[in-house]
Amino acid sequence: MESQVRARRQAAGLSQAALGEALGVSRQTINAIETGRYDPSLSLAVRLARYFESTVEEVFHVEDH
Amino acid sequence: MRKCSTLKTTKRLPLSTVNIALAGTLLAGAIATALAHNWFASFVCVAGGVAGVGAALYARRPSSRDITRLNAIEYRDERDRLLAKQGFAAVGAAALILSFLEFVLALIFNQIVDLAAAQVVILCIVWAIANSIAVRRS
Repeated sequence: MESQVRARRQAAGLSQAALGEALGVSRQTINAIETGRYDPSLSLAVRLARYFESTVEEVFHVEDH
Repeated sequence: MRKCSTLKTTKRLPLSTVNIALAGTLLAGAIATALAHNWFASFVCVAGGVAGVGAALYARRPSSRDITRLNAIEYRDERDRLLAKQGFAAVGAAALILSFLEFVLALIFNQIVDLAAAQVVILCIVWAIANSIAVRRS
């Protein structure tokens, strides 16, 4: 799943470790989400979106089937 | 960007619940075997407990790798738990086969302790390999 996590994190001047710490997840999890290797749970997706003061739809892009 | 006020701050135990249970089991085993004057078994239990607790504390460092956390059963988030499930699935399959084999061999050779020890070692090896594969694939 594509996402805006990397762009928004870099715009905020945060490292992966710092964002992970803020959200209570590991640096590796943030990296896996940014590279599309891991789809976060709904709960984590919402927390990420709220952290960036955005909505889930704006941060994560899911194609229609 | 904002500070996420909806995140709950909960106090974490110094070790995971599983590691506390494992350390407690090994401590009880060390005491029981020491009372029976089986010093070698007592030493093995103490050494295993110290190694396990040390590995768990090492895995709790903020900069620890995911494979380190998986092998130490110190999961930090949902992705760790998902990867751990894949590793434990392999352990479950291996345990089922090994248990049947152990049962038959125990009937033949009547050496249940040696067979149980071998089973634990083999399952730990299977578990470490399965964790490594799960992390590489993720």
